[in-house]
Amino acid sequence: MSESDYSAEPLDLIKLNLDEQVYIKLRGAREMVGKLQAYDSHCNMVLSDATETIFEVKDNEANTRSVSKKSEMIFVRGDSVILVTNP
Amino acid sequence: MSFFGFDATRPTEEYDFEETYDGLGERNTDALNDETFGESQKEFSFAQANPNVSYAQAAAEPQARGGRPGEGARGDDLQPMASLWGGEPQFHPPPQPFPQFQQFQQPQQDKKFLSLEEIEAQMAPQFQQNFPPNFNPNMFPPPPGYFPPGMNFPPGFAPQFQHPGFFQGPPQAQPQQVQPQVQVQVQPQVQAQVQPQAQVQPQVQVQAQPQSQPQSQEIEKVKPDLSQFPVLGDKAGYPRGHEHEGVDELEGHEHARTDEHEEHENNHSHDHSHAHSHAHEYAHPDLSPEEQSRLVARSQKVQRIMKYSGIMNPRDKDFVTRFQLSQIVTDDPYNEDFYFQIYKALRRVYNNQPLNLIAQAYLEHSGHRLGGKYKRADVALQRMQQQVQKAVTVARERPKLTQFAREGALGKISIGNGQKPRQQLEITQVATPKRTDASGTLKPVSRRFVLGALERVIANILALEGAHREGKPAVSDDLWASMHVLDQSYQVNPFIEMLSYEKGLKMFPRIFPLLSREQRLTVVTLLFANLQHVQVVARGSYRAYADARVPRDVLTHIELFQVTAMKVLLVFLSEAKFSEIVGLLAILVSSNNVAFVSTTRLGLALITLLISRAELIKQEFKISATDLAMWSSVYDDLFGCLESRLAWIFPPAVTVDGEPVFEDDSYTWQFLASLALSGKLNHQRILVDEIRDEIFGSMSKAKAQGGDAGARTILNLNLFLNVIGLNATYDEITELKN
Repeated sequence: MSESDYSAEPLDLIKLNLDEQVYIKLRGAREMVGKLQAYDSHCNMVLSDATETIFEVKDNEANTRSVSKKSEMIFVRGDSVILVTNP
Repeated sequence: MSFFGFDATRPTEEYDFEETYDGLGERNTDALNDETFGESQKEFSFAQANPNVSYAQAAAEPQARGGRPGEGARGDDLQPMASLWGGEPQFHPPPQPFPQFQQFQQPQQDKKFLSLEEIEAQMAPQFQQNFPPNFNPNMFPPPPGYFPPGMNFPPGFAPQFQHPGFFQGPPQAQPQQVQPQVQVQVQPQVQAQVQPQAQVQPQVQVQAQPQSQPQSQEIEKVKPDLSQFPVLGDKAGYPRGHEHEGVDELEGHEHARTDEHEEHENNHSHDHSHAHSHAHEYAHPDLSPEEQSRLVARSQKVQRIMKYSGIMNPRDKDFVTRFQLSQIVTDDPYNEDFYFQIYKALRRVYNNQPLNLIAQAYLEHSGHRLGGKYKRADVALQRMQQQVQKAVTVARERPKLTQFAREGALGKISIGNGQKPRQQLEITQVATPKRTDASGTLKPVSRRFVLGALERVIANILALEGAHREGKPAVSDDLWASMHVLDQSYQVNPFIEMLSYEKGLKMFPRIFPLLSREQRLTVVTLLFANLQHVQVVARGSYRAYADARVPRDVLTHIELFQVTAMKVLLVFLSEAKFSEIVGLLAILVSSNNVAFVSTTRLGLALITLLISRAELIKQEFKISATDLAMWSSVYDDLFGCLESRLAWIFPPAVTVDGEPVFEDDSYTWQFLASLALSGKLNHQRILVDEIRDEIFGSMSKAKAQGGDAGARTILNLNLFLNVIGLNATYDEITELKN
């Protein structure tokens, strides 16, 4: 049983992270960390106990602020997903 | 082909049958001449032909003209055609023995520039004229006197068909045979779309126009030809007005279908009153205006309703419903339609006919008018059930693969359904050769590998559970293989690694019922042998943390273990034989660092489980001497590992912000109680000696807590003390009085 058996297609990598903590980078300078409850072929995802961080860049790099929001359960629409990885 | 002609954009528009028909004659014929004949030719009018020239003379003319447009006033009626041929004078008609057809033939030659739709549309008005007696006797009275003396119809057409130019256009007779049914629907298009190519239409329209006085005589000579012409194509036998088929369908609902033929005739007379409100008005001149308008409104409504009726026959409808149903029915509902099945179970919908349910749901959601006019819902339902039945059969026969190649066929057929859309690409994976570890060193287990293996386990569990539900024989071989329980090629067994993940723990209770007893014992043995590698156990040790506090997330993980794996183990061990328990404890002691495991909450709890279970069996049943001897030797080993480290099982007192935090330590007292219970007197003496501080610490803790919490602490302490014949209160320890 080789390891490559479990990655027949790209989304299998996301499947492996079901019920695990994932880090999702989103469009609009946002990122999301939470436990992956569900996903589909559009990369729509449902996260539980998620923390969304929104970054705001003002004037220059040094002036970056971030706002965090917590959600018990949240749906992330796939078209805004840039990358998915472990936190 | 006539399906292309539907005008989907105008469904709401009311339109009168009669109007469209009349409109052909009333329309301004010159309006689109420019588009039709181009700008070079200012006006195309049949009127330009010299009325004094006979057709025989006109037919002789073209050769002299050489097909050049705009030349020679006498041949002007032929010129527009020449321009349309795009400078191909060779198509110019040769002299014909039947010159009166000259003019009529030219539109035919035009047709090689027309598209299919155009031809259809163009034929529509022509075809109308097939039914003048049926349609509106007032509109086109057959003009008997207009036939020129020498003209005999069938021979007149025979040579024309042999003309080479004629066959270059689409054959006209054949489309006509296909056409008739859809006449009604095509009708609006004639006005809406076909105007630009109205080469023929002007002819038709001009015919009905009485105001073009000087030329009308000639033109009207043509008219009977046109109206008669499609009769050739009509030989196939549509004797009646087939444009009324839609009405037939509608009427069919109202009439009991007793005598079809008779009914058909009836419908005809009936139809005309419906379809032609004008005719209706004429027929009842004595009606009051309200009644007339009501009749008109009614006929318009009927028109609207039947506009598209009869397009699909019952077989078509069945096909469509079956096609839709085939996407929603499945022969594997528990996998593909899981949530609906659960919903059904929750709602306790007891229905011995699941197909009935699907059919009902489909009818409700598809907006079917149940049963039509008479609300025959039962009939509709029955019909739909048959469809569902068929669809299920199809679904069952459907190949399980998404793609398959029929033998002898080129290419592959891919199949999709509602759950799994059609797969367009198939990427075959090249089988990678199994990596063999030649070096002999054990591989570390990667996270991805474990998670992948776990997914496979879950898939196997689902498959087996599904098989159980359906009462199919289930073989757990695949599941067993995917669990890697006996896989020795990794540093840590992959199954043990799986238990490090929450989903692995959640799967644990579901795996157990699917395994045979031997397999369960193997799993439990593996677990006890690798206790210190199970992350949830190891991370539960206070010694792993600098502040000696187990973090919150680990505690939730531990709780999860207790409600999942621990429960299963409890059940398994309560049915296990004494020798098996002793064996498990022996393996635990020999394979693990007992001193470390004892600092973990779960490790200690599991050891407690084994010891207390063994003690229980020992008291209830007669144990063979060899088993007893083995037990005492294993116990000695265990005790030997713990001796001098017994105090370590207590997590150190923790203070947060100077305040002591009292954590639940009942599991430690439970462990000590069972350890003391199974041990001999010397064991108990060592125990008490080692944990003397903890005993008094617990008493002072109870005092500090007070209330219920304090009482609980004392209760926990007494779990242990009672075993050795003592009893504690807040202040003192006394001998237990029996």
